[in-house]
Amino acid sequence: MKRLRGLAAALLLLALWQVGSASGRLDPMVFPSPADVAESLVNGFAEGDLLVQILFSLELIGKGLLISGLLAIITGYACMKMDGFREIVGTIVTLIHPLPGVALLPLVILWVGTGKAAIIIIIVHGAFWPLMQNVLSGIAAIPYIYFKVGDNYGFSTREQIFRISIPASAPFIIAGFKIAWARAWRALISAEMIFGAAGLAGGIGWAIYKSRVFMDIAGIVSGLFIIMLIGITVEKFVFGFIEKRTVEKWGMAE
Amino acid sequence: MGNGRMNTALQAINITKKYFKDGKPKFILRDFSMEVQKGQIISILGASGCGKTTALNVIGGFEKIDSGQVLLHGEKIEAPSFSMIMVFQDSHQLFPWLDLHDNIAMPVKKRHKKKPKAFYEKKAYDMLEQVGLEGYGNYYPHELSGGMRQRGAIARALASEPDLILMDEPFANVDAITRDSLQDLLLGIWKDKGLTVVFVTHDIEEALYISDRILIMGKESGKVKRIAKNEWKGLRKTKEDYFDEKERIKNEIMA
Repeated sequence: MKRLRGLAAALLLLALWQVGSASGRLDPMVFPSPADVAESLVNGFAEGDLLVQILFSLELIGKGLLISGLLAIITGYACMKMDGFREIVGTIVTLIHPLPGVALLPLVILWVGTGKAAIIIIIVHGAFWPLMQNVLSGIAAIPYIYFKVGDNYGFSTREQIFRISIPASAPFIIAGFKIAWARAWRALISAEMIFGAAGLAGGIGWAIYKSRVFMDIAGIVSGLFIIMLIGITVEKFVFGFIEKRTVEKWGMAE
Repeated sequence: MGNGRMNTALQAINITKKYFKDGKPKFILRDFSMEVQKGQIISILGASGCGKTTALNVIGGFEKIDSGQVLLHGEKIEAPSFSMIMVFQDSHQLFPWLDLHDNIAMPVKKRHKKKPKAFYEKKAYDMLEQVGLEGYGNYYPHELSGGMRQRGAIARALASEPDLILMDEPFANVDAITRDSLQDLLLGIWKDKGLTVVFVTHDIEEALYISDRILIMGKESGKVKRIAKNEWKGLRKTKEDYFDEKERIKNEIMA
Protein backbone atom coordinates (compact mmCIF):
# COMPACT_ATOMS: atom_id res chain seq x y z
CA MET A 1 0.00 0.00 0.00
CA LYS A 2 2.80 2.39 0.97
CA ARG A 3 4.66 1.46 -2.18
CA LEU A 4 1.58 2.12 -4.30
CA ARG A 5 1.15 5.55 -2.76
CA GLY A 6 4.82 6.34 -3.39
CA LEU A 7 4.45 5.25 -6.99
CA ALA A 8 1.26 7.30 -7.34
CA ALA A 9 3.08 10.39 -6.03
CA ALA A 10 5.88 9.89 -8.56
CA LEU A 11 3.36 9.49 -11.41
CA LEU A 12 1.52 12.60 -10.28
CA LEU A 13 4.73 14.62 -10.36
CA LEU A 14 5.48 13.28 -13.82
CA ALA A 15 1.96 14.19 -15.01
CA LEU A 16 2.24 17.73 -13.63
CA TRP A 17 5.58 18.10 -15.33
CA GLN A 18 4.15 16.87 -18.64
CA VAL A 19 1.18 19.23 -18.35
CA GLY A 20 3.48 22.14 -17.50
CA SER A 21 5.71 21.46 -20.49
CA ALA A 22 2.88 20.76 -22.95
CA SER A 23 1.00 23.91 -21.95
CA GLY A 24 4.11 25.98 -22.61
CA ARG A 25 4.33 27.23 -19.02
CA LEU A 26 7.70 25.53 -18.63
CA ASP A 27 10.17 27.13 -21.02
CA PRO A 28 12.17 24.26 -22.61
CA MET A 29 15.30 26.45 -22.34
CA VAL A 30 14.80 26.55 -18.57
CA PHE A 31 13.46 23.07 -17.91
CA PRO A 32 13.09 20.34 -20.56
CA SER A 33 9.94 18.30 -21.16
CA PRO A 34 9.72 14.66 -20.02
CA ALA A 35 9.92 13.58 -23.65
CA ASP A 36 13.17 15.49 -24.18
CA VAL A 37 14.71 13.94 -21.08
CA ALA A 38 13.56 10.47 -22.10
CA GLU A 39 15.03 10.98 -25.56
CA SER A 40 18.29 12.20 -24.06
CA LEU A 41 18.46 9.13 -21.82
CA VAL A 42 17.71 6.75 -24.68
CA ASN A 43 20.33 8.39 -26.90
CA GLY A 44 22.82 8.42 -24.07
CA PHE A 45 22.45 4.70 -23.53
CA ALA A 46 22.29 3.94 -27.27
CA GLU A 47 25.57 5.75 -27.91
CA GLY A 48 27.07 4.01 -24.92
CA ASP A 49 28.43 7.19 -23.34
CA LEU A 50 26.00 7.19 -20.46
CA LEU A 51 26.76 3.61 -19.49
CA VAL A 52 30.50 4.26 -19.58
CA GLN A 53 30.01 7.33 -17.39
CA ILE A 54 27.85 5.45 -14.90
CA LEU A 55 30.35 2.63 -14.68
CA PHE A 56 33.17 5.13 -14.26
CA SER A 57 31.38 6.72 -11.30
CA LEU A 58 30.39 3.38 -9.78
CA GLU A 59 33.95 2.11 -10.05
CA LEU A 60 35.26 5.11 -8.12
CA ILE A 61 32.58 4.86 -5.48
CA GLY A 62 33.09 1.11 -5.17
CA LYS A 63 36.80 1.57 -4.59
CA GLY A 64 36.17 4.39 -2.13
CA LEU A 65 33.70 2.32 -0.10
CA LEU A 66 35.96 -0.72 -0.17
CA ILE A 67 38.88 1.29 1.18
CA SER A 68 36.64 2.91 3.82
CA GLY A 69 35.25 -0.47 4.86
CA LEU A 70 38.67 -2.07 5.23
CA LEU A 71 40.00 0.92 7.16
CA ALA A 72 36.98 0.87 9.46
CA ILE A 73 37.34 -2.86 10.17
CA ILE A 74 41.06 -2.56 10.92
CA THR A 75 40.58 0.54 13.06
CA GLY A 76 37.59 -1.03 14.80
CA TYR A 77 39.63 -4.09 15.66
CA ALA A 78 42.50 -1.96 16.98
CA CYS A 79 39.96 -0.12 19.15
CA MET A 80 38.84 -3.40 20.67
CA LYS A 81 42.36 -4.60 21.36
CA MET A 82 44.12 -1.46 22.60
CA ASP A 83 42.98 0.30 25.73
CA GLY A 84 42.32 3.98 25.14
CA PHE A 85 42.56 3.75 21.34
CA ARG A 86 38.79 3.91 20.98
CA GLU A 87 38.69 7.32 22.69
CA ILE A 88 41.46 8.62 20.42
CA VAL A 89 39.65 7.42 17.30
CA GLY A 90 36.38 8.80 18.66
CA THR A 91 37.93 12.24 19.06
CA ILE A 92 39.45 12.19 15.57
CA VAL A 93 36.10 11.14 14.08
CA THR A 94 34.30 13.93 15.92
CA LEU A 95 36.84 16.51 14.71
CA ILE A 96 37.11 15.54 11.05
CA HIS A 97 33.62 14.16 10.36
CA PRO A 98 31.95 17.61 9.95
CA LEU A 99 34.50 18.83 7.37
CA PRO A 100 32.84 19.03 3.94
CA GLY A 101 34.85 17.08 1.38
CA VAL A 102 34.89 20.07 -0.96
CA ALA A 103 36.76 22.05 1.70
CA LEU A 104 39.55 19.50 1.50
CA LEU A 105 39.95 19.82 -2.26
CA PRO A 106 42.83 22.32 -2.31
CA LEU A 107 44.80 20.12 0.07
CA VAL A 108 44.03 16.97 -1.89
CA ILE A 109 45.00 18.62 -5.18
CA LEU A 110 48.34 19.62 -3.70
CA TRP A 111 48.89 16.06 -2.49
CA VAL A 112 47.87 13.96 -5.48
CA GLY A 113 46.76 16.28 -8.30
CA THR A 114 43.33 16.06 -9.89
CA GLY A 115 43.09 12.44 -11.10
CA LYS A 116 41.06 9.46 -9.94
CA ALA A 117 43.11 9.24 -6.74
CA ALA A 118 41.92 12.69 -5.68
CA ILE A 119 38.27 11.74 -6.24
CA ILE A 120 38.74 8.52 -4.27
CA ILE A 121 40.28 10.43 -1.38
CA ILE A 122 37.28 12.76 -1.31
CA ILE A 123 34.93 9.74 -1.40
CA VAL A 124 36.81 8.02 1.41
CA HIS A 125 36.62 11.20 3.44
CA GLY A 126 32.85 11.32 2.89
CA ALA A 127 32.33 7.63 3.68
CA PHE A 128 34.90 6.64 6.26
CA TRP A 129 34.03 8.95 9.17
CA PRO A 130 30.31 8.19 9.46
CA LEU A 131 31.09 4.50 8.93
CA MET A 132 33.73 4.61 11.66
CA GLN A 133 31.34 6.35 14.00
CA ASN A 134 28.83 3.53 13.50
CA VAL A 135 31.47 0.84 13.87
CA LEU A 136 32.48 2.37 17.22
CA SER A 137 28.87 2.39 18.42
CA GLY A 138 28.49 -1.16 17.10
CA ILE A 139 31.51 -2.42 19.01
CA ALA A 140 30.27 -0.78 22.20
CA ALA A 141 26.92 -2.52 21.75
CA ILE A 142 28.23 -6.10 21.35
CA PRO A 143 26.99 -8.14 24.33
CA TYR A 144 30.01 -9.28 26.30
CA ILE A 145 28.59 -12.78 26.56
CA TYR A 146 29.44 -13.50 22.90
CA PHE A 147 33.13 -12.99 23.60
CA LYS A 148 32.87 -15.12 26.71
CA VAL A 149 31.31 -17.89 24.60
CA GLY A 150 34.07 -17.34 22.01
CA ASP A 151 36.75 -17.75 24.69
CA ASN A 152 35.07 -20.87 25.98
CA TYR A 153 34.98 -22.45 22.50
CA GLY A 154 38.57 -21.54 21.67
CA PHE A 155 37.97 -18.84 19.05
CA SER A 156 41.11 -17.44 17.44
CA THR A 157 41.61 -13.71 16.93
CA ARG A 158 40.38 -14.02 13.35
CA GLU A 159 37.27 -15.86 14.52
CA GLN A 160 36.64 -13.25 17.21
CA ILE A 161 36.56 -10.64 14.42
CA PHE A 162 34.75 -12.43 11.63
CA ARG A 163 32.54 -14.80 13.57
CA ILE A 164 31.59 -12.59 16.51
CA SER A 165 32.42 -8.89 16.23
CA ILE A 166 31.27 -8.30 12.66
CA PRO A 167 27.98 -10.23 12.74
CA ALA A 168 27.22 -8.99 16.26
CA SER A 169 27.59 -5.37 15.17
CA ALA A 170 26.02 -5.92 11.73
CA PRO A 171 23.04 -3.59 12.32
CA PHE A 172 25.44 -0.73 13.02
CA ILE A 173 27.80 -1.64 10.20
CA ILE A 174 24.95 -1.74 7.68
CA ALA A 175 23.50 1.55 8.95
CA GLY A 176 27.02 2.99 8.70
CA PHE A 177 27.39 1.81 5.12
CA LYS A 178 24.03 3.35 4.22
CA ILE A 179 25.17 6.77 5.43
CA ALA A 180 28.60 6.17 3.93
CA TRP A 181 27.02 5.36 0.57
CA ALA A 182 24.90 8.53 0.56
CA ARG A 183 27.84 10.71 1.57
CA ALA A 184 30.17 9.03 -0.90
CA TRP A 185 27.69 9.51 -3.73
CA ARG A 186 27.42 13.25 -2.98
CA ALA A 187 31.19 13.58 -2.60
CA LEU A 188 31.74 11.80 -5.89
CA ILE A 189 29.41 14.04 -7.89
CA SER A 190 30.90 17.24 -6.43
CA ALA A 191 34.46 16.08 -6.96
CA GLU A 192 33.76 15.06 -10.56
CA MET A 193 32.22 18.42 -11.35
CA ILE A 194 35.22 20.25 -9.97
CA PHE A 195 37.97 18.00 -11.29
CA GLY A 196 36.38 17.25 -14.65
CA ALA A 197 37.47 14.20 -16.56
CA ALA A 198 40.36 12.11 -15.37
CA GLY A 199 42.14 11.26 -18.59
CA LEU A 200 39.68 10.56 -21.40
CA ALA A 201 36.80 9.22 -19.38
CA GLY A 202 34.61 10.99 -16.88
CA GLY A 203 31.77 10.05 -14.61
CA ILE A 204 28.16 11.04 -14.37
CA GLY A 205 28.94 14.26 -12.46
CA TRP A 206 31.31 15.28 -15.20
CA ALA A 207 28.66 14.45 -17.82
CA ILE A 208 26.20 16.85 -16.20
CA TYR A 209 28.80 19.56 -16.03
CA LYS A 210 29.81 19.01 -19.65
CA SER A 211 26.16 19.23 -20.77
CA ARG A 212 26.03 22.76 -19.42
CA VAL A 213 28.83 23.82 -21.74
CA PHE A 214 26.79 22.59 -24.71
CA MET A 215 23.54 24.11 -23.37
CA ASP A 216 22.22 20.52 -23.39
CA ILE A 217 19.56 21.10 -20.77
CA ALA A 218 17.89 17.71 -21.34
CA GLY A 219 21.29 16.12 -20.82
CA ILE A 220 21.68 17.89 -17.48
CA VAL A 221 18.29 16.75 -16.25
CA SER A 222 18.78 13.21 -17.50
CA GLY A 223 22.04 13.13 -15.53
CA LEU A 224 20.13 14.19 -12.43
CA PHE A 225 17.65 11.40 -13.08
CA ILE A 226 20.42 8.85 -13.29
CA ILE A 227 21.82 10.06 -9.97
CA MET A 228 18.41 9.75 -8.34
CA LEU A 229 17.76 6.33 -9.82
CA ILE A 230 21.10 4.90 -8.74
CA GLY A 231 20.67 6.38 -5.27
CA ILE A 232 17.23 4.83 -4.83
CA THR A 233 18.25 1.51 -6.36
CA VAL A 234 21.21 1.07 -4.06
CA GLU A 235 19.33 2.18 -0.98
CA LYS A 236 16.17 0.15 -1.52
CA PHE A 237 17.42 -2.86 -3.38
CA VAL A 238 21.08 -3.39 -2.53
CA PHE A 239 20.83 -2.46 1.14
CA GLY A 240 17.30 -3.84 1.36
CA PHE A 241 18.57 -7.16 0.02
CA ILE A 242 21.51 -7.25 2.42
CA GLU A 243 19.28 -6.42 5.40
CA LYS A 244 16.79 -9.11 4.50
CA ARG A 245 19.56 -11.67 4.25
CA THR A 246 21.23 -10.66 7.50
CA VAL A 247 19.90 -8.54 10.36
CA GLU A 248 16.23 -9.06 9.55
CA LYS A 249 16.67 -12.81 9.29
CA TRP A 250 18.65 -12.83 12.53
CA GLY A 251 16.08 -10.74 14.42
CA MET A 252 18.68 -8.04 14.95
CA ALA A 253 17.12 -5.24 12.88
CA GLU A 254 16.58 -2.03 14.81
CA MET B 1 32.91 -40.25 48.72
CA GLY B 2 33.01 -43.48 46.73
CA ASN B 3 36.36 -44.87 45.74
CA GLY B 4 38.51 -41.83 46.21
CA ARG B 5 40.87 -39.91 43.99
CA MET B 6 40.31 -41.86 40.80
CA ASN B 7 36.88 -40.36 40.38
CA THR B 8 37.68 -36.77 41.24
CA ALA B 9 37.06 -34.58 38.21
CA LEU B 10 37.57 -31.14 39.65
CA GLN B 11 39.25 -29.66 42.67
CA ALA B 12 39.12 -26.06 43.75
CA ILE B 13 41.68 -25.50 46.49
CA ASN B 14 41.73 -22.55 48.90
CA ILE B 15 40.61 -19.98 46.37
CA THR B 16 40.69 -16.38 47.46
CA LYS B 17 39.53 -13.47 45.40
CA LYS B 18 39.25 -9.99 46.86
CA TYR B 19 39.04 -6.34 46.01
CA PHE B 20 39.79 -3.23 48.02
CA LYS B 21 37.18 -0.75 49.11
CA ASP B 22 38.31 2.32 51.07
CA GLY B 23 41.64 0.61 51.70
CA LYS B 24 40.02 -2.46 53.26
CA PRO B 25 40.02 -5.87 51.60
CA LYS B 26 36.61 -7.26 50.67
CA PHE B 27 36.46 -10.96 49.98
CA ILE B 28 34.39 -12.27 47.10
CA LEU B 29 35.75 -15.75 47.72
CA ARG B 30 37.62 -16.75 50.87
CA ASP B 31 39.34 -20.11 51.22
CA PHE B 32 36.82 -21.55 48.81
CA SER B 33 37.42 -25.27 48.33
CA MET B 34 35.35 -27.94 46.70
CA GLU B 35 35.66 -31.25 44.88
CA VAL B 36 33.51 -32.59 42.12
CA GLN B 37 33.30 -36.32 41.52
CA LYS B 38 33.01 -37.56 37.98
CA GLY B 39 29.40 -38.22 37.04
CA GLN B 40 27.91 -36.04 39.75
CA ILE B 41 25.84 -32.91 39.72
CA ILE B 42 26.93 -30.51 42.42
CA SER B 43 25.07 -27.30 43.12
CA ILE B 44 26.55 -24.13 44.51
CA LEU B 45 23.65 -22.61 46.41
CA GLY B 46 23.53 -19.15 47.87
CA ALA B 47 21.81 -15.77 47.94
CA SER B 48 22.62 -13.14 45.35
CA GLY B 49 25.93 -11.46 45.99
CA CYS B 50 27.38 -14.44 47.86
CA GLY B 51 30.06 -15.06 45.26
CA LYS B 52 28.61 -18.21 43.67
CA THR B 53 28.77 -16.93 40.09
CA THR B 54 32.33 -15.73 40.67
CA ALA B 55 33.20 -19.18 41.98
CA LEU B 56 31.84 -20.72 38.77
CA ASN B 57 33.72 -18.21 36.59
CA VAL B 58 36.92 -18.99 38.48
CA ILE B 59 36.42 -22.73 38.03
CA GLY B 60 35.91 -22.22 34.29
CA GLY B 61 39.05 -20.09 33.97
CA PHE B 62 37.10 -16.92 33.10
CA GLU B 63 38.32 -14.93 36.09
CA LYS B 64 41.72 -14.48 37.74
CA ILE B 65 42.21 -15.24 41.44
CA ASP B 66 44.47 -13.89 44.16
CA SER B 67 45.45 -17.26 45.57
CA GLY B 68 44.56 -20.92 45.40
CA GLN B 69 44.16 -23.14 42.36
CA VAL B 70 41.69 -25.04 40.24
CA LEU B 71 42.61 -28.50 39.01
CA LEU B 72 40.75 -30.47 36.39
CA HIS B 73 41.90 -34.09 36.44
CA GLY B 74 44.96 -32.80 38.26
CA GLU B 75 45.80 -30.15 35.67
CA LYS B 76 45.82 -26.50 36.54
CA ILE B 77 43.11 -24.39 34.91
CA GLU B 78 44.09 -20.86 33.95
CA ALA B 79 41.91 -20.06 30.94
CA PRO B 80 38.57 -21.14 29.51
CA SER B 81 38.66 -24.16 27.21
CA PHE B 82 36.60 -26.93 25.68
CA SER B 83 37.18 -29.08 28.77
CA MET B 84 34.65 -27.03 30.75
CA ILE B 85 31.76 -25.44 28.88
CA MET B 86 29.58 -22.81 30.51
CA VAL B 87 25.83 -22.52 30.06
CA PHE B 88 24.86 -19.00 31.06
CA GLN B 89 21.74 -17.55 32.60
CA ASP B 90 21.36 -15.14 29.67
CA SER B 91 18.95 -16.63 27.17
CA HIS B 92 20.76 -14.73 24.41
CA GLN B 93 23.90 -16.81 24.60
CA LEU B 94 23.36 -18.55 21.26
CA PHE B 95 24.69 -16.56 18.32
CA PRO B 96 21.66 -14.87 16.73
CA TRP B 97 23.33 -14.91 13.30
CA LEU B 98 23.48 -18.70 13.21
CA ASP B 99 20.46 -20.96 13.07
CA LEU B 100 20.06 -23.49 15.86
CA HIS B 101 21.71 -26.25 13.86
CA ASP B 102 24.77 -24.12 13.07
CA ASN B 103 25.01 -22.91 16.67
CA ILE B 104 25.21 -26.51 17.82
CA ALA B 105 27.47 -27.68 14.99
CA MET B 106 29.91 -24.82 15.73
CA PRO B 107 31.81 -26.53 18.58
CA VAL B 108 31.74 -29.86 16.73
CA LYS B 109 33.41 -28.27 13.71
CA LYS B 110 36.00 -26.65 15.94
CA ARG B 111 36.82 -29.82 17.81
CA HIS B 112 36.82 -32.15 14.82
CA LYS B 113 38.27 -30.01 12.05
CA LYS B 114 39.00 -32.86 9.65
CA LYS B 115 35.75 -34.75 9.92
CA PRO B 116 33.31 -34.65 6.96
CA LYS B 117 30.23 -32.46 6.93
CA ALA B 118 27.94 -35.43 7.56
CA PHE B 119 29.65 -35.88 10.92
CA TYR B 120 28.68 -32.38 12.11
CA GLU B 121 25.18 -32.74 10.73
CA LYS B 122 24.62 -36.02 12.53
CA LYS B 123 26.03 -34.73 15.80
CA ALA B 124 23.98 -31.53 15.67
CA TYR B 125 20.86 -33.53 14.85
CA ASP B 126 21.51 -35.95 17.73
CA MET B 127 21.99 -33.09 20.18
CA LEU B 128 18.80 -31.39 19.01
CA GLU B 129 16.95 -34.63 19.59
CA GLN B 130 18.57 -35.05 23.00
CA VAL B 131 17.20 -31.71 24.18
CA GLY B 132 13.79 -32.17 22.54
CA LEU B 133 14.27 -29.67 19.72
CA GLU B 134 14.20 -31.98 16.73
CA GLY B 135 12.75 -30.15 13.76
CA TYR B 136 13.96 -26.75 14.97
CA GLY B 137 17.43 -26.89 13.42
CA ASN B 138 16.73 -24.22 10.83
CA TYR B 139 15.15 -21.81 13.33
CA TYR B 140 17.07 -18.73 14.36
CA PRO B 141 17.37 -18.07 18.11
CA HIS B 142 15.01 -15.07 17.95
CA GLU B 143 12.29 -17.38 16.60
CA LEU B 144 12.49 -19.57 19.71
CA SER B 145 11.17 -19.09 23.24
CA GLY B 146 13.52 -18.45 26.16
CA GLY B 147 13.20 -22.04 27.34
CA MET B 148 13.94 -23.40 23.88
CA ARG B 149 16.99 -21.18 23.61
CA GLN B 150 18.28 -22.56 26.92
CA ARG B 151 17.72 -26.08 25.57
CA GLY B 152 19.75 -25.00 22.54
CA ALA B 153 22.53 -23.70 24.78
CA ILE B 154 22.58 -27.05 26.61
CA ALA B 155 22.73 -28.85 23.27
CA ARG B 156 25.66 -26.66 22.20
CA ALA B 157 27.46 -27.47 25.46
CA LEU B 158 26.80 -31.21 25.05
CA ALA B 159 28.01 -31.10 21.44
CA SER B 160 31.34 -29.83 22.72
CA GLU B 161 31.88 -33.05 24.70
CA PRO B 162 33.35 -31.27 27.75
CA ASP B 163 34.65 -33.06 30.84
CA LEU B 164 32.48 -30.78 32.91
CA ILE B 165 29.47 -28.58 32.25
CA LEU B 166 29.22 -25.35 34.23
CA MET B 167 25.74 -23.94 34.61
CA ASP B 168 25.16 -20.45 35.93
CA GLU B 169 21.48 -20.24 36.93
CA PRO B 170 20.53 -21.42 33.44
CA PHE B 171 16.84 -21.78 34.27
CA ALA B 172 16.39 -18.58 36.27
CA ASN B 173 14.79 -16.57 33.47
CA VAL B 174 12.06 -18.95 32.36
CA ASP B 175 8.58 -19.53 33.76
CA ALA B 176 8.03 -22.12 36.51
CA ILE B 177 6.56 -24.83 34.27
CA THR B 178 9.36 -24.51 31.74
CA ARG B 179 11.87 -24.52 34.58
CA ASP B 180 10.55 -27.87 35.85
CA SER B 181 10.78 -29.39 32.41
CA LEU B 182 14.32 -28.07 31.92
CA GLN B 183 15.34 -29.57 35.26
CA ASP B 184 13.85 -32.89 34.17
CA LEU B 185 15.69 -32.58 30.87
CA LEU B 186 19.00 -32.07 32.69
CA LEU B 187 18.40 -35.08 34.93
CA GLY B 188 17.35 -37.15 31.92
CA ILE B 189 20.55 -36.34 30.04
CA TRP B 190 22.57 -36.92 33.19
CA LYS B 191 21.10 -40.43 33.53
CA ASP B 192 21.64 -41.09 29.85
CA LYS B 193 25.18 -39.79 29.50
CA GLY B 194 26.64 -39.54 32.99
CA LEU B 195 27.39 -35.83 32.92
CA THR B 196 29.51 -34.03 35.46
CA VAL B 197 27.94 -30.69 36.30
CA VAL B 198 28.61 -27.72 38.56
CA PHE B 199 25.31 -25.90 38.83
CA VAL B 200 24.95 -22.47 40.39
CA THR B 201 21.52 -21.51 41.73
CA HIS B 202 19.76 -19.45 44.36
CA ASP B 203 16.69 -21.71 44.19
CA ILE B 204 16.73 -24.21 47.07
CA GLU B 205 14.11 -26.48 45.52
CA GLU B 206 16.05 -26.57 42.28
CA ALA B 207 19.23 -27.52 44.14
CA LEU B 208 17.39 -30.25 46.05
CA TYR B 209 15.84 -31.64 42.87
CA ILE B 210 18.89 -31.89 40.65
CA SER B 211 21.94 -32.30 42.90
CA ASP B 212 23.97 -35.21 44.17
CA ARG B 213 25.65 -32.79 46.52
CA ILE B 214 24.92 -29.24 47.54
CA LEU B 215 27.51 -26.64 48.46
CA ILE B 216 26.01 -23.88 50.56
CA MET B 217 27.60 -20.47 50.58
CA GLY B 218 27.03 -17.88 53.28
CA LYS B 219 25.85 -14.38 52.62
CA GLU B 220 28.67 -11.94 51.85
CA SER B 221 31.47 -13.94 53.46
CA GLY B 222 32.69 -15.65 50.28
CA LYS B 223 33.05 -18.81 52.36
CA VAL B 224 31.72 -22.31 51.93
CA LYS B 225 29.35 -23.06 54.80
CA ARG B 226 28.67 -26.68 54.16
CA ILE B 227 28.94 -29.33 51.47
CA ALA B 228 26.43 -32.08 51.95
CA LYS B 229 25.11 -35.12 50.20
CA ASN B 230 21.58 -34.49 48.95
CA GLU B 231 18.86 -37.06 49.62
CA TRP B 232 16.17 -35.52 47.48
CA LYS B 233 17.60 -35.75 43.99
CA GLY B 234 14.82 -36.41 41.47
CA LEU B 235 12.11 -36.00 44.09
CA ARG B 236 9.75 -33.10 44.49
CA LYS B 237 8.31 -32.27 47.95
CA THR B 238 7.59 -35.84 48.87
CA LYS B 239 8.08 -36.10 52.60
CA GLU B 240 7.60 -33.89 55.62
CA ASP B 241 11.32 -33.60 56.25
CA TYR B 242 11.77 -32.11 52.78
CA PHE B 243 10.37 -28.88 54.15
CA ASP B 244 12.54 -29.14 57.24
CA GLU B 245 15.59 -29.48 55.03
CA LYS B 246 14.50 -26.57 52.89
CA GLU B 247 14.00 -24.36 55.92
CA ARG B 248 17.35 -25.38 57.37
CA ILE B 249 19.19 -24.50 54.15
CA LYS B 250 17.34 -21.20 53.90
CA ASN B 251 18.51 -20.20 57.36
CA GLU B 252 22.08 -21.12 56.50
CA ILE B 253 22.02 -19.12 53.30
CA MET B 254 20.65 -16.01 54.95
CA ALA B 255 22.75 -16.19 58.11
